[in-house]
Amino acid sequence: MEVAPETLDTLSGWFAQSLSPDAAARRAAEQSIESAKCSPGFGLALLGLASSPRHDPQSRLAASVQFKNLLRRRWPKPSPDGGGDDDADHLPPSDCAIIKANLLQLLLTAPPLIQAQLSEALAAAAASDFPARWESLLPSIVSSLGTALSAGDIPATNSLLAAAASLFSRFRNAFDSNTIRLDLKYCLENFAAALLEVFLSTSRRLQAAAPTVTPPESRPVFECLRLCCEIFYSLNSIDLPEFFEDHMREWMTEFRAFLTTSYPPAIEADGAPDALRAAVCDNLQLYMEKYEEEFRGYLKEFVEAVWGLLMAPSVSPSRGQLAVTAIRFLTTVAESVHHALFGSPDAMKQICDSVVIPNLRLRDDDEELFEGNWVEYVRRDAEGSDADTLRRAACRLLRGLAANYREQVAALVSAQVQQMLAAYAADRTNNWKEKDAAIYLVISLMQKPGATGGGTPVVDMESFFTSVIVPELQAPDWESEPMLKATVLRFLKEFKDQIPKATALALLPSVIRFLIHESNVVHSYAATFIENLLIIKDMVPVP
Amino acid sequence: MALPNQQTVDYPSFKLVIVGDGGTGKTTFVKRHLTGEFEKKYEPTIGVEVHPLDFFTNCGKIRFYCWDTAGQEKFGGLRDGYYIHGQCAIIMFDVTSRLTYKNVPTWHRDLCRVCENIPIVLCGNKVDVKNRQVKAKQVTFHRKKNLQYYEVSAKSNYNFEKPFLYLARKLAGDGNLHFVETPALAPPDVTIDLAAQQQHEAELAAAAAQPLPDDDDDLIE
Repeated sequence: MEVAPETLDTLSGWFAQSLSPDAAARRAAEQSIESAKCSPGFGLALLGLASSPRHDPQSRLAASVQFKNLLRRRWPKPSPDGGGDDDADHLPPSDCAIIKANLLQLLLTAPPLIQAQLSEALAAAAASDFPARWESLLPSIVSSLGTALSAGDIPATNSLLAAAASLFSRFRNAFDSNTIRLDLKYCLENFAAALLEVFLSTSRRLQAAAPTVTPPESRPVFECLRLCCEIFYSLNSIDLPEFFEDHMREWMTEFRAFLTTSYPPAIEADGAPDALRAAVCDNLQLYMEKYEEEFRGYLKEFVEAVWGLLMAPSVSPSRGQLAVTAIRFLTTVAESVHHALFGSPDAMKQICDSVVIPNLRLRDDDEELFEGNWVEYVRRDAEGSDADTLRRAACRLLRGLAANYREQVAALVSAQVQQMLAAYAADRTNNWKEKDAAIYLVISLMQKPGATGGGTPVVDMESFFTSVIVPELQAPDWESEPMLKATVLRFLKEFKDQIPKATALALLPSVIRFLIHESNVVHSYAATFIENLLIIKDMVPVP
Repeated sequence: MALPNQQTVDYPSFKLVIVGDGGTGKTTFVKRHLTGEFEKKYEPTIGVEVHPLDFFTNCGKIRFYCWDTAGQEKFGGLRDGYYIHGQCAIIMFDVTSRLTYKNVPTWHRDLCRVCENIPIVLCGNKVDVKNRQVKAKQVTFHRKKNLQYYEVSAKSNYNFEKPFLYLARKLAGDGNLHFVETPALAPPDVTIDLAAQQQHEAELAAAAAQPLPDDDDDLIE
């Protein structure tokens, strides 16, 4: 790729001026750049300047930024009618061909800031052209990966993996079709073996170094492994490819090591290990959901590993997000034919005591949501859009267990509910969250059976109602603990069909008080309950 | 410290990049400092406007070249090309518009891709409006990314100097640096509800003492 040196010099001068605080100079430069955009070869000139060692760093960076912006806006996208009016603004095919031939190599040799821009540019072009119209890209990535791996160059490896990850993300959430399968086959044939090699090599490197390195040194290594896991997920999203089935043992051995290894506290506190573990759990979830037959041989060891992870104390800032992913995996297992892994009384009690209950209690961000974004809070309750919260994940695990172990779960949860209520009775001011958690548990497990289970009897409804719910509704301090009051009102809404008419009418004055409650959630729930009450009709006697 | 092609002055000067969605008050905030006037009419910035803004500190005079960038896509000009050699930045959102806060991560990502490791202040503007949609407690992005957060109001001059003071201290490496002479400004158009704002500040301080929320958008790329 050759661009005339004087062209680069002119362009460099314009970019230098475009960064001038002087408006006249800056605008003149912008005008020149804008005019040049219409010239043939402008994209090539930008790329040439971005990768020119003899030009100053700021002009090179400016060129790479504009190159990325250019590709985002003007890279040709295939249209159903094969072109048309919008062709006029597309980059010329000859320019595209030269860019595709050179972009990856230039990206690899670029300084970090320019590399970040060129990586975005590559993703923009590949979104349209890869793989059918850019057949050299994947072999080049694989070849460069081999070189980077031999040199122990983790940053370069990560750049290549990030590029590959963006290429393969198309297979996630893709509708199965011959076209997508042909693309997948192409990617697997060219990349799967190289991916495994990078993964195993880097994992060995981590194991060798972990006890002594510092977070800045270990972070790129963890990131490399996380990228491998992301690519693994993409390549396995449509079907279980033969290569991955053949090498399942190698992948699973490393996955388990990441889940069961404790890294030094400084590294854990960095958060990188948990980011990797979350990616591993996503992969386990995928295999459990779609490839259960092939995965079953590894299931027991992973249930134990994930379970152990959830019970371990952590200094990681992202442990909560990992917990949601991990609990979801356990739920999938609990609902499957492999539920026996949780079947023993000891196992079930540990799950309840160590995994579910701790994640059920209200957290500070729940309170912030309640006060600051009440529409979202109500929406989560009403529409079930809280699927990614710890509370919801924990309750879904319980319901999953209850699908096969109804009596055992009922007994365990019942005991927990009683404990929580006792804690509340002992110290109402400081332990109101215990009562909130107890009511939440009852609602979650006893609400009408649906697609995700339910209908598990954990308390005697009538006595729970009269001893736990009614006193809260009639409490003189009705303005305090708004979240608890909201949960109580939600209980009424969930089980309104089971409340006798006379009882409901007797409670109406108490509920009406909440209509003027300061909290948006509380008065909204009160209004909803009253509305529901007013539209319920008596059962018509059959003549 | 003078940058290439920057007008040379005989005191330290810094390039300050101001980004954020259109209509969040970036230009008004800068002009308020320059002329003291509060611009009521919304006029989108085209490309970028550069305004030199001088402050007097106990260590001498300093200048911020404020690169006030376009927030609307169609007026973007060179877009993130204007960020190059930025030495500090302000990301502005509007507390009465939740969408502008949701877009903060995108602005931050584009900014960090061009400028590495620069001090950044997140500003929630228009705090004197009653119908705010983004409560103080909800603003958590700055804690995940180690930015400073201030609520400001160009209209009432509330907290107007704090973003610059924070950036000046960071750039000078002097935590004790302070401003010694307040530029003359026109009187504020409105009087801020100090009691309500003190409550917001108290909420912010309390929120800052809490552990970070569990969600982490580092994984979003």
